[in-house]
Amino acid sequence: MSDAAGLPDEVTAARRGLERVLAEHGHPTAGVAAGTGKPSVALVGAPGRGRRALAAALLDLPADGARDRARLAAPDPDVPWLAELDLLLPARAPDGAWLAGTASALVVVAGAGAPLDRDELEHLADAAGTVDTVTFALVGTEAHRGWRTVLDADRELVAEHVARLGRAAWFPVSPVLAAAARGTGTAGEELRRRAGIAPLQRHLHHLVARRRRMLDEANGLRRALTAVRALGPAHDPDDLRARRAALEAARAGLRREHHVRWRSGIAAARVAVLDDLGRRVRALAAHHRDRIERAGRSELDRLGADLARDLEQVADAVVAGLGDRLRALVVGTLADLLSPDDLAEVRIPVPTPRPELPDDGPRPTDRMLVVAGASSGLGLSRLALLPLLAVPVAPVVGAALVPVSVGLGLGAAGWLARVRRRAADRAHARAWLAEALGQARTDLERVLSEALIVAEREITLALDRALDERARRLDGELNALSPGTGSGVRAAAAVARAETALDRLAAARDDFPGTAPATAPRDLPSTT
Amino acid sequence: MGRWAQDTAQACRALAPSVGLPIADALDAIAARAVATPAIVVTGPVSSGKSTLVNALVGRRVAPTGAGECTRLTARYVRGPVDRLDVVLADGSRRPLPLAEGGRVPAAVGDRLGVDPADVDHLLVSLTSDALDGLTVVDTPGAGSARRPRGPARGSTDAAESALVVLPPTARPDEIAGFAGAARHGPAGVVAVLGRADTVGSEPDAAGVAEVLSRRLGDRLGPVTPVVGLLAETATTGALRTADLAALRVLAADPGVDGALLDPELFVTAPLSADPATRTRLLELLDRRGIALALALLRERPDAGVGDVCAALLAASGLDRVVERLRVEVRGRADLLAARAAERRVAALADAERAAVRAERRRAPGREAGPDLTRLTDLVEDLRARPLHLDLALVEAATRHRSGALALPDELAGELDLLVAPGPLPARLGVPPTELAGHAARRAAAWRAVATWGTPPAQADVADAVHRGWARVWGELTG
Repeated sequence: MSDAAGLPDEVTAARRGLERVLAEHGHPTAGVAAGTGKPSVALVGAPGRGRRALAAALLDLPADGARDRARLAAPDPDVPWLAELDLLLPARAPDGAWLAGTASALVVVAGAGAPLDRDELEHLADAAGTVDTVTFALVGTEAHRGWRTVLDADRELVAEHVARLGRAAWFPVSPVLAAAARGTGTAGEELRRRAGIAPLQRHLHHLVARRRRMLDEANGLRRALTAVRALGPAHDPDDLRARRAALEAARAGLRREHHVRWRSGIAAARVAVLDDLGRRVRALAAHHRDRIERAGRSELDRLGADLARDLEQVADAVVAGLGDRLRALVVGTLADLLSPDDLAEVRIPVPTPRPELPDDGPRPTDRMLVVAGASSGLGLSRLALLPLLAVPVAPVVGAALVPVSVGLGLGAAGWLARVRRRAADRAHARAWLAEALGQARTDLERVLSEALIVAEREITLALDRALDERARRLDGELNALSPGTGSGVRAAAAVARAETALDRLAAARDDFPGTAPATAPRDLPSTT
Repeated sequence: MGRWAQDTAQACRALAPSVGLPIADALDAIAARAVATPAIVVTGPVSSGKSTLVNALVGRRVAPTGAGECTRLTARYVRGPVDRLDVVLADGSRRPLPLAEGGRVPAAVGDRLGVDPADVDHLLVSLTSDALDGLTVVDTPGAGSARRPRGPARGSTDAAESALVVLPPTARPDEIAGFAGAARHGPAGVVAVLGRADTVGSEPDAAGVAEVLSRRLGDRLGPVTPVVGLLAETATTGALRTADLAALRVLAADPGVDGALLDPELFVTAPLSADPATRTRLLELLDRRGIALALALLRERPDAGVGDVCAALLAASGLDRVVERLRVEVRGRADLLAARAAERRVAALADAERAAVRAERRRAPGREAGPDLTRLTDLVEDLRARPLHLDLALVEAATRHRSGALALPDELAGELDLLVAPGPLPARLGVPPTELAGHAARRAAAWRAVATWGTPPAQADVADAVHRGWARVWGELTG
């Protein structure tokens, strides 16, 4: 007893140490699950091992008494050994892992027919990382004569996979025999003895009853220890190298993935915007052709001006559509790389204006020319980018449209006048319309393509900048991984301290005053 | 040897001269294996009763059996003029080793030979057993053992054309990936059994467990037959002696024996009339189920002899059902299975070559791939285009349906069974031979309609296979 005097302080200190290491690595600390009510024992095992049958046998219920229930309490006067604890039958995780939940201790149900297989041992190792106290039940001794061989093999395997459980207690039991002996009174005593349920009940009682606090402490410490171990041994160079390689791969993959996404996005935008333009121009052509058919001479005179106005609207709409599309694309591409604040800051630098339009010089009067232009000295291709440049990228609200003017070249007006002089032939008007629209469409397509090329260049650069930033952060993480840092040493010390505390806890658990040593079941050699 | 296996072997041999040497040798080996004696690999988790069943099938207690993990090495049991054991090492060399007492394969083979156990690839056991005529049996270590790396054990990779899968009552679908050889390749050529049916309760209990297993695993393994390996082994190997029968007779008269049979150790320690050593021996030979059976028989017919008891044990073991399934589903389809296995091996060869070409290109970019890969891929395509795949599809669908894993409308299931069953079609169908072509064309059209219109995918696949089956019948009749 005196030996266990300083134990609570030691355990608390060890847990604090582990929590400090976890906090340093930015992991939340679960702390000790403050259990309330009775302590609980979870029965875990591979599917089909008979957890429910064992639970029923332990609580002296009918063979199917544990069906569809996740928590079982002993019917009080009948099973005094288990009156102070609950049995849990937790569901397995979708990948078959054993979930211990809030259990104070585990009973692992193993089959007597075959040694534990690899999956079972892996699940056991995982479960033992969250619960400190583990006991084993070998189920089916009535059906498998060779259970002793299997038991030896199991002990050996467990010792290899989870070294600290190498000396855990094993209880060969037979729920089938227990069910057969049920209600037989003293006549079934021999069967009941062979069923081996009573030693397991006794063991669970000594192990768990009135020990909730101690077990919870041990489990909290065990969980923290597992979490710290999962951080990776900070001083193992092989592990360090592996993590560095993974981070570098993530960095290369990051760039490739975003570029692929961005490229396909811009290709889709190109197709969509050209399709939009073609649709609008075709609609315009149909409208005006219709007008020519019905128009009088005076109306034909206005054709040129009307067409210019309509084309201007089309250009506005198409450019606005492209702006929206590009904004959405940029936001979509950069959103998961940048914080919302950074995203709002992203601007594509305003291109320096350069003369791009042909001079308004004299032209041969018989050549059709549709000139798309604006007065500010920026070409239309630059203008197309303006909606993108003018507003912050992130809050995509109210596309601020810059007025775009589409002017019909002077040559066109002259040509039209010449046409009118020649009897205002409808056929000529139709020919002019077709040619003018064709020219305007080609021009606008060129303008849009140039805008897309510029946008692609500028946004790719922005993307690269963002990716570089992210890569720098990854580099920072890589540097933090360098060996021999103070945090690694502290972690190792905390782990060592926790292990000592857990060892002492286990020792205290096994020699608690008033606790008989774990009873050797049947004719086994000592099981402790 | 069957037509498709011959066809495969010829195709492989025809290609061999025009490809590089290592591939040519591999193709020759594949051709030789396609027409060699087919093999069945016995696979399943640790301690499911594989070796016991092997002993029962060959009628000899030759494979080591017992609780825990007994079989650590793959063993090929072949028909031979004398009983003999060779240890095949990883480098392909063979070392002879005498069989242990009672004709058993000795334990710790590596130590006896003075070689590292890791260097042993497999054991080659020649036996004079008739059961091995025309079918080599390959016994493998248990899958999922924590003692070995994941995946099939060495010496058992694609070692056979068919598989006998021995399952424990708790088998799960995700375990199948760890099984050896043909068991991973669909239900055709797979005979699945519940190997220790006596450990899950009474006979109806075992049948129920087998049915659940069938439904759970039938998609991959087909129906599951319950079998009591130990009883089959004892009955077929002649291990039961007159002295054992006398002890059983004494026990039959003891009123306390039935209660003691609830637990094996209770049976040994309870105050009964036979001495404990004999009772232990009886347990080892018969276990509780066999003893109960023998006692019941002796109480009914006190004059029954060893032969009678063995016959009763054999009948109760269910081995005859397994042997019958092996006859119909493995020996009867040896040609199809050999062709399919050879095809799989060629495909694996092509995959390996493709990987090699890729690795080469990574080392030296710009280099053109040799023509070998193209030729191999062409061969794979040619092999896969053969009509034997229709037979396989029909067999697989019928097997899945029988396992209960695939629900089919009665009509479709009936047509499927009709097309899969052996023998001349007109007789089975009850249609005059002159009208068969027309019947086949109508059925083909009807099932195509079912396959294309809104049938659930799993059933549509089966309907499509049945459609192609009838279309083939029609094509053969009308030329």
